[in-house]
Amino acid sequence: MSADPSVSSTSTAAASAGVRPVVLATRGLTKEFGALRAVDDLDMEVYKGDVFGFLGPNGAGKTTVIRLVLGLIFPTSGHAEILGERVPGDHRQAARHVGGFVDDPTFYLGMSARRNLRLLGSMSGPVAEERIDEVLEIVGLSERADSKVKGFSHGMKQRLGIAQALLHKPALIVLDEPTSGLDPRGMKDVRELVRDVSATGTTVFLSSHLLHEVDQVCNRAVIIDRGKVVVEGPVSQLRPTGSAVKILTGDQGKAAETLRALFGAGSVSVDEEFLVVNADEEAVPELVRRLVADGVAVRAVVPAAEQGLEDFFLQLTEPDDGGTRAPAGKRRRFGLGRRRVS
Amino acid sequence: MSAKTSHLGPLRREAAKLRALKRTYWGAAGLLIIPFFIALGIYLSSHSNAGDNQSGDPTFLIKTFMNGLYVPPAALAIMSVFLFPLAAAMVGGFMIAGEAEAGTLRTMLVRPVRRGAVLLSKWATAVIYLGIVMLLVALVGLIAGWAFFGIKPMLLLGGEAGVWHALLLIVLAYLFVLACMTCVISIALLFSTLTDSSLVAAVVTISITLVVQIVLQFSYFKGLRPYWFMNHFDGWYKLFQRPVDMKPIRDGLIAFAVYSAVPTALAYLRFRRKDITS
Repeated sequence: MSADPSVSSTSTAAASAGVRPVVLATRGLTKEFGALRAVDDLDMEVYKGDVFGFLGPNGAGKTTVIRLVLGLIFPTSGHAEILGERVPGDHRQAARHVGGFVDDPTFYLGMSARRNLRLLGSMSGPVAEERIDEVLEIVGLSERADSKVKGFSHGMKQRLGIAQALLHKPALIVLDEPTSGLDPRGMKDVRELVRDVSATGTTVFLSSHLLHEVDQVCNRAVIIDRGKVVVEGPVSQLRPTGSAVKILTGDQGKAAETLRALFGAGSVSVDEEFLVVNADEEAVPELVRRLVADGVAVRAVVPAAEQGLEDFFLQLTEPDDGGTRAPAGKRRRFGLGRRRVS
Repeated sequence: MSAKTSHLGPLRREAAKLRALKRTYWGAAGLLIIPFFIALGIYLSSHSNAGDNQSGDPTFLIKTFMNGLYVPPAALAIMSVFLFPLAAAMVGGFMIAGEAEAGTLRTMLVRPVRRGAVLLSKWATAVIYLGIVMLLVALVGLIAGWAFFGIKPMLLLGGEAGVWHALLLIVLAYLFVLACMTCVISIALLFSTLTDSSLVAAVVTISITLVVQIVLQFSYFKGLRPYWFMNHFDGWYKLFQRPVDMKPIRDGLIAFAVYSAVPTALAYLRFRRKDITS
């Protein structure tokens, strides 16, 4: 083990290569439940300072991976590393560097928020009352510090979950769908909280199935499907290559023909009532002129960049025409492959 | 100035959790009223028989037991057959499975804690809780007995004990039954690691405890009786005889040690590698 416990052999190598240190890594992580392989030879790395999005459809194995990383369940093979400490194996040492929750955060309902934090915090060592006040302030629960948790709303419990995760100032916090079940205001609050936490230098591992959430909050992301990584990289690259526009016309069939002729068959796809064309803004005047010249009434032309992540996610994870998902075994680089116009 | 810090050890954490549950108090309260009603029952029986020897009640026996010191042993004899095992099964069964049900097991185990230490602190907390409840049962019995009958030297089989000596015997009798109930707690703890339902853990434990006890009453199984811990639960009666026959007490304590250690060890082996999926 390195002299500095916060730097693993991997992170040392990464640092020497000019990359940020690895805070969390999984190495061939595999978990089987009977005949079901829930996590399949998963390799990924989260670097210091990342707000790392962990995306996947329901049943992809996200929560199982988090349970493995947090030492709640044991892998069939492989392991996780948190700042170089192996899980399983060095779980107690690893757990000192990590805070978080899996599924909904849970508490002792008959106790106040403060007593819960005191009790849970003491499992990681002595906890100062000032620190309890501080984390309650961070998550905006100071005024309810002495109220019993059983009277808390779902959103308040989520915020208290983040407070308990931050209590011992861990290098990494792991949040499993922290905005799940919240109203829009609650979602916004939690996302702002995650940004604030990240701004303090804490690495955040954020599991979510909300693509726009990852888009808004995270700098890097991985998409998993059936326990395997299918794509990973910076969120900024989790978009179509080049720009796209969405077009609504009076005759979408005829418009599609015109646009295929203009930009090539592979550049046109369908997104609900819109046609999506891989074309940059400079091409829009010509595009509109050609449609009008062919007698197609153009009703709207809007940027389609915000659609990229969702399309990409669906393409990677949704079932194919036969009702089964496309093979998820191959890891891919970020890029867009749209559904073609039928 | 140094900051005020909190650091709760595993036992204090478990005690704090138990204190925060209403069922902790309701369960204890349910047991505490029983010695009071036992004292009341003896009192009312003795008064209804005053001057009425035609009723057929054993007036001499009633009069003999009109001593506050007899209420705690009477409560122990009545409650150690079913109520204390039930309480032990419930508190033991709750320890792991109850936290799994509430989801707090995962909240706790993501922290840097040793699973073995968690399990043993839960076992110890359950034993201490039951010990406190039994102590309170004895105290309520003693107070009710004193209120209804007063306190006098205790008549034993083959002798007599002064008040303080009798109190010591009562304490020893309760400790003996607590040792027996420790076995029930250990078995319940084992089932608590095998299921995520505290009710299932408690029901299975109490069923096994009682069913085995009933089955062993058949003469065919007579040879197995010494090996079943509940067969020794009434060994404390010997403390109230003169001279004291230590063999049943010794045999009971050995059985209790085995039936406490083995299920707890199995629970530890199970829990340290258990996948927490609740």
